[in-house]
Amino acid sequence: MSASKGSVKRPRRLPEWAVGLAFVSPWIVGFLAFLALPVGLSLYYSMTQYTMLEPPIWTGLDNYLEMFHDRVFWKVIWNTTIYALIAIPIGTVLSVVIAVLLNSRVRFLGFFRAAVFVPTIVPLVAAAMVWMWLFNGELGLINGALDSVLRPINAVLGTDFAGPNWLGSAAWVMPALILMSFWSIGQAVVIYVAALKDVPTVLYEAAELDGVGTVGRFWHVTAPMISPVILFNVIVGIINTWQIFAVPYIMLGTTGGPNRAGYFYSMYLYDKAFPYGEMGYACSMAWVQLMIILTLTGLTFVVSKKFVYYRAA
Amino acid sequence: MTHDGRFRTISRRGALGALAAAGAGFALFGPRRAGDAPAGRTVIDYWEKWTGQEGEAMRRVIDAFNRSQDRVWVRYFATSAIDQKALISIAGNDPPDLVGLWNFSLPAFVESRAVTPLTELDDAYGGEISRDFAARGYAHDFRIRRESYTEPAWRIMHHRGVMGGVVNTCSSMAYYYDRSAYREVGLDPDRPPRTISELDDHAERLTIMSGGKVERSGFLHREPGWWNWLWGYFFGGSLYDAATETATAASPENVRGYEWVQSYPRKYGAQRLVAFQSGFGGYNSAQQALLAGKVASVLHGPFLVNVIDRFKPGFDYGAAPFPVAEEIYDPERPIGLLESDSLCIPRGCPHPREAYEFLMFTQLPENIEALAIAHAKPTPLAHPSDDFMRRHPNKYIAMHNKLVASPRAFPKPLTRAWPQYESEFNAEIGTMWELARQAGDVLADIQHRAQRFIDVVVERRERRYGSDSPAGEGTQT
Repeated sequence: MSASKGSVKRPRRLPEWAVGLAFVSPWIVGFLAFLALPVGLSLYYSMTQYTMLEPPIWTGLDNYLEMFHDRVFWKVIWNTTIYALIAIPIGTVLSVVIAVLLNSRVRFLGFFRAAVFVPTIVPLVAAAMVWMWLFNGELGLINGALDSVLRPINAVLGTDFAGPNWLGSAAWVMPALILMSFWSIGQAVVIYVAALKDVPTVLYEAAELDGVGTVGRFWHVTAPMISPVILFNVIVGIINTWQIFAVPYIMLGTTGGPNRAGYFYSMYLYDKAFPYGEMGYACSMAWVQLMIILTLTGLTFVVSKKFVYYRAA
Repeated sequence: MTHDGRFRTISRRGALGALAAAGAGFALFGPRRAGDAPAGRTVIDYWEKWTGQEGEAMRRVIDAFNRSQDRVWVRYFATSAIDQKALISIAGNDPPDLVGLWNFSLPAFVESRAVTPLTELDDAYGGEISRDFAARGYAHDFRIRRESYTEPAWRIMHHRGVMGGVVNTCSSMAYYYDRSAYREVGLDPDRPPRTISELDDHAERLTIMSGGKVERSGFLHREPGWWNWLWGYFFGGSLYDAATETATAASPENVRGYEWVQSYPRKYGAQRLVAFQSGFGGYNSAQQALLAGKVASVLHGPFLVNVIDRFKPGFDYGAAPFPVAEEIYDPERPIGLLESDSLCIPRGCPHPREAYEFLMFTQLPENIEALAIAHAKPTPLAHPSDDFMRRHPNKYIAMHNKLVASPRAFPKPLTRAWPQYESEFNAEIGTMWELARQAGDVLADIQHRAQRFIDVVVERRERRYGSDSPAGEGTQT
């Protein structure tokens, strides 16, 4: 056996690491060509005047300094911040409350869970079109409902209250968009429901024995136990709100409605890159956006140390 | 999975073989470039923005060209956001042979040398193509010449002295009104307003209010809302001085124009008008405000008749040059917005000679007129044919032609900074309409910001090309 083995010439085997690399090479090539290289190039372009049609001209930090004087840049920072500050906390509270309700034993639970989740699978464009009509100042369902409430009030008081021009008035654009953001909280609700299922029932039983009421049980048992999931959803929310684009773009057009009230960071970045032909400035905005998201995420983690409770494994 | 429930592992050789087979299958049976070009022809790709009825009209011109000879085959691709896609394809060094832009896109494409100056191509191939056209039975000695076009149309083919594209269709905007509404309130439908004060008077009589709501607006600046920047022109203003590369948004004429715009929400209630307008349907629908009787008059283009023919064929419409301030009224030199679609040949396109041959073909009078008729637009040609005038679907085509030829026809300001400049108006028109600020203050802000955009463009151009940059033509736009 050993003699015959010695006489057969075995094919040369590649080392394991080379074979492994060969198998992951499609991903590596994709990563380098479509992620690492563009990210690196965008950093370079952010320090140039670059129109895409002409070679870039090195300008150092000019694009970054220009942002300080760019009124629209500060406008989109303001809009995005306000949107994030209002939509994320309210969305979080709302989705936790709905998750708690969906975690209780009620009739038609499956229907309610589906009703909360189904909107998240509706394509954004279709949802935006539907909401445009809901928000319509003249014919919209929302104002129709408001009118039925306001009509008797007006009749009694002799006033002339009417539903707002949601998307046509600078003052109402942001509330409309925030209201619409709750349309897609189903995804967070599903995650919260899963987290609630994971809370040990012995903790509730112990709390009950100690005489803790329903609110107390939620506050002292449920909230700490699902706090890592809340943290996760808040961070995802921060990232998503700083990248909001499609819905306001569809509902309000390229300039974000009257007085740019619904003009967000990513919309301005896109406009700078393509319609305005200032790819260098757009790249610098993208890097600032990354820094903002990283900073906010880092701050959230730091603050979360006080509020988030991690169970021992 | 094997019968004992374990996953069967695939060998490396098997995996590589499967990958190779997939690759070969893709290469052999994968997607092919669309098109049915006959063998032996040079295929040229033409990107255009038109679909539907307008796209079909262009396809007929292409079919005529493809039939007229056996060397070149034009392939038509309709796409949205064509300026951005053209920009990316040219930047990626893979441009189509022809691209249909707008005249206001020309400054960016010309200044960055992204399109081939047509005079270069004409010098190289024009004579030869012209002889070929004559041999094929088309006009004798046909060339793209100044004398064929109206002066404004010829002007917007150029930017800073460079001929960047030809006009394949153009449009002039005018005052469109509902003649039956005029009759209903005792106005003469054959006597549309000529001056702004007449328009205000007509608008007031045509407006119907009921229960604190607007039932019908006599005239609404924000319908269809495509040209938020032009109201100062009807008072003698302009937005840009090309000679000095200066933004002039805050000129007294423009301020007057926007104070006039603000007089409407002031009179009828800003929020009331915004709510009223939110109930309008889209432009290309039966619920469009003019067709639905929501507004009695609007600023619009001649192509509106295609929508009328489609959704309300019997609609009794009238059209006239848009009213202007009394002191600048001159019936022989009407004022109106001139827009055009520009057919360009990108720099670095694979087949410049063939592309120029097709471009010249589109400029044959019969093709320009056929396209203009199908699009319901006026002609950029200086001398329209009788057949064109007879067959045109818009009964006011003579008025539109006159606007196109008028020395006071104005295009969008021809500066590379225009997209940003225009976005300022689009963002601020709501501020003015809601009466949140005075027109003069808003325009001063717009002018300040626009000048900054223009300065960046100028600085960038000088830094990049220095004295080699094309000369300005010194016109106010």
